[in-house]
Amino acid sequence: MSKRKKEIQPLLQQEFVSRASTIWLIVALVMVQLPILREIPIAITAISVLSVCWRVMILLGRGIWPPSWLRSLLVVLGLATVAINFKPLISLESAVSVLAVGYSLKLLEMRSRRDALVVVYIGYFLIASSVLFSQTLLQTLYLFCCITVLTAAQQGLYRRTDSIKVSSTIGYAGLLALQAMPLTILLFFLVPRIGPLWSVPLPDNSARTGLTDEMTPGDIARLSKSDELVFRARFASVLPAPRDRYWRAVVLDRFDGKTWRQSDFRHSGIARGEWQSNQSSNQLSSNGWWQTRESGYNYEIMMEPTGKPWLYTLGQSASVPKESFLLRTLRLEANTPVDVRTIYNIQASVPDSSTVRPPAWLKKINLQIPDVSNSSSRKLAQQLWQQSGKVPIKMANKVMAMFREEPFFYTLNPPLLTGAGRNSIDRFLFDSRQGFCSHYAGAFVYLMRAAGVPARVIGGYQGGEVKEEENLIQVRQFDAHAWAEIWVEGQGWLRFDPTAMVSPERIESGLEAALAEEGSFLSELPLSLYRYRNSGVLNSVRLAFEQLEYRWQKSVVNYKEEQQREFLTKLLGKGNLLQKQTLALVVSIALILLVSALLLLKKRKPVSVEQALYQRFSKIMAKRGFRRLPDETELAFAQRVISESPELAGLVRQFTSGYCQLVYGGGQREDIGRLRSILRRL
Amino acid sequence: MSLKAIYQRWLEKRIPSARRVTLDQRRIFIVPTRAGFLWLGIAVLIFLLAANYQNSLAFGLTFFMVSLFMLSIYHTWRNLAGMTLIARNSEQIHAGQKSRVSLELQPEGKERVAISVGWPNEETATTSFLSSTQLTLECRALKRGHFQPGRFKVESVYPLGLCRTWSWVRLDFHSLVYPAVDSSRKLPQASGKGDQLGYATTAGQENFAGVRRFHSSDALTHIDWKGYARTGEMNTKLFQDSVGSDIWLSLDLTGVTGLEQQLSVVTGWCLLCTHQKTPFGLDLPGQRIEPALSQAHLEKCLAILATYGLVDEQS
Repeated sequence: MSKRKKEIQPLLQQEFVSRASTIWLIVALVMVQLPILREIPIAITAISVLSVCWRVMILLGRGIWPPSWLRSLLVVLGLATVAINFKPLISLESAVSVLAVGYSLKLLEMRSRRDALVVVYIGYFLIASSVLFSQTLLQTLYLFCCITVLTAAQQGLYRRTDSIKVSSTIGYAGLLALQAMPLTILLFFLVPRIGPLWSVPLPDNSARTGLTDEMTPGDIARLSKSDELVFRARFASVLPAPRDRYWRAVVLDRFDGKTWRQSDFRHSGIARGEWQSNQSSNQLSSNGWWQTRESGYNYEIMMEPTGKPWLYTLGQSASVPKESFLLRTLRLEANTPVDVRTIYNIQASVPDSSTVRPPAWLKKINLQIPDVSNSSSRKLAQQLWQQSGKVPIKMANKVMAMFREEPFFYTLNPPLLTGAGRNSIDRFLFDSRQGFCSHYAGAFVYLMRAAGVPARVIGGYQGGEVKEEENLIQVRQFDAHAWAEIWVEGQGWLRFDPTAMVSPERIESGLEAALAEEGSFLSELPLSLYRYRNSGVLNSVRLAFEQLEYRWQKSVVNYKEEQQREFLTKLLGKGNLLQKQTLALVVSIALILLVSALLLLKKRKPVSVEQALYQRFSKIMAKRGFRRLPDETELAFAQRVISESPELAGLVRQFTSGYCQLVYGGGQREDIGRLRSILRRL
Repeated sequence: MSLKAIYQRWLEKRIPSARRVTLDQRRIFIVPTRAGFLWLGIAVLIFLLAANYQNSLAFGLTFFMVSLFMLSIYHTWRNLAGMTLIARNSEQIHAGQKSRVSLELQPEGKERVAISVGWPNEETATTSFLSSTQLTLECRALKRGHFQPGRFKVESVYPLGLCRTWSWVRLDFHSLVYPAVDSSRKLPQASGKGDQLGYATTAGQENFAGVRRFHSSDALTHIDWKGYARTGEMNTKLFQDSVGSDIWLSLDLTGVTGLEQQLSVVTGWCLLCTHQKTPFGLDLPGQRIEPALSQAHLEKCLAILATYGLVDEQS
């Protein structure tokens, strides 16, 4: 009968979504969607905003529930937006967008508890998807707040509508979330991690700012406006000197008069073994590459996702980390684009410079310049080549001296060279003479190539902020830099940084010092904490936070199968790890259950002295075979005991009357002692 | 013995009925709800997501969901545990009618939230309380005799709805359910048991029987003031209660068969007699109640009818 009743009236009073719940669900909707705002199309954000506003109106009693045709229309609109916006359709971002549409619109038809529960559950999915995009400490704390709000909403669903305070639910939810933490942490460290079961679409990083394999003057100027983190390098021992902190990433060796590009060897027809190797260093020389020697630094790099395959190394390195390969151009590339935060290790191993000889095809690439245009520059190059006696290093030094001695200026806002067409080098060297590292590196390489010296532009980062307490260097986007390398027989690829001639501060102290006069450092980021490095308190807050963030990334976010094995081996000792791990898991969960069971069974009610006395009395009686019935009064119990074993009559009667006197008759404290002595005699 | 009967017997042993019941761990059951299973399902999905993306925080979220689930077992359980239910009172009713039953819920020092109390297929009330609270529920009594509304369910899914905890409680209300009323039969003729004419009267309160001279011990309310005004004589009015018109009600007179029907008819008669102000007595096999007419008499008779022929189930 009750079942039929429920069918007829689907919304019993307790099935309604309470006001507090609704408020928290709306708050949760806004909060959960904020971190993924960048990933979802603007139209879907608009639908979310509409839903939230509409729902708030209903909550305020000023709106009606949207008709079903409108909801269907919005669903179609949302799905169409997803279909149009995402190519290919199946990607992480499109899945998140569909979730967001569903989440927003479900709010508009959330009338029963079951609907509200669906909203809560979708909220958890959205939280899970937003950690795929970012796992920073701040994001984690923020998502913890989201979870708390969702818990508050869920908890509010099961209270009666009229007995609920909006603020009390969040407090309770926070308490619940905190109470769940110890077990969460335990499970996190002990539950065996499994590797990927099938391949999944990774986050799309194409819109990220960062180095590209094309350099048009101006690109690096754009990067220098960002204080985003690029990577952290932690050194095993000493840090490299500031002048040696050149982080190579890309080798730009093709020039079309305007833009420097990285060669694409894959489609060049050159045999793979000629330009790519993932061999250990010893085998490289036998393949005709170079001999390696132990030198340089051991360090570990934790790089932020770039969506590009290249990895960073300090100077030239011959070490090949896991899942990556070395190129003949002396740079590292990962097997797949770096779409998630990655950690790799570089061993102290460099190519022996005397054995580095570019093969003919590579030499050709490194000499290539457009046949026409920039005639003044070519002429200059020929002059300098003659003056330096056709010695490449002398020639390079002459160009460097030119940059140092003649009025060249270092600026983030140089005049545009777009009008110059393919004569950009001429225009820069003889006309504007104001530029950024890419201008100087590009002009330098052009002059060297025009003189017949193999040369190339290297793109990467220079400098970085030192964190002494962790022995690491932290590099941000504004450390982006371009410099040059020339090849000299017997000396390998030599680094020349023409920017250092124009602005030595840039190399020694970083971009901020170089731009001190111009005042343009991070001028578009007034809120960047990095700008306030000179304010003591703010800076120490920033440093402490960055250190925390690094440790978080290193120990928690990077806790994967391998790290787990390492950690648990240290903790549990060697042997059959899986067995020990399972045992530890079971034991610790059992411990937690035991502790909570003890807490449960412990009487929470504070027992008064009188009650304790009677409990002792009951225990003594129970030993003698008398159990007080639940609804038996003390006197009735005493009567029963006396009638069944008269030999106890005196003491039982004394005790019971004394006890009743004490509890009900306003007895004195001294009576307690008397009762105790009676109990002892019993 | 059927499974249900075994369960009932086990339940009876585990949670015996009493006037007050404190819900302790022996009496409380708990299992996940459908929402709870769904929750675990979602945790598994997020686990797969985490594994495929090798994402530590997604793993963390999964473990958090599992932990919250386990925590909710504890909290849901605790919401019910330690609470005391006390039977307060219930209306005296006839079988087939609904009784309003009062319960007292004592939180025992802890806030109890969203606890629903009620009989299956009957009214269920949901309440939250921090201090002792009264709850009135309607419950239909099907059988005459001691009011035994059966086990009712005390239930809660608070705080997260992931687990349902409940207990089946039987409380003694110490009240009676009178037999159902059957007023279709005509009242039997007054039969004074061998005193057919039965005009014997006894001094009483009901019917005016004349006046006599006032004695100082007479009640002032019985003085014939009107006569005193008329004649100047102070007289006292006399009343008589009829004795001979007493009706003896017995099962044999009902003209129906079956004990329950007979009791129903007699119950109807008792009520009718009281209404008509006709004194009545009960003549049941093995039990006789002398004729009288008062509310207390009626209740006594109805109580006898209610428990007549029943094995005393209450110890």
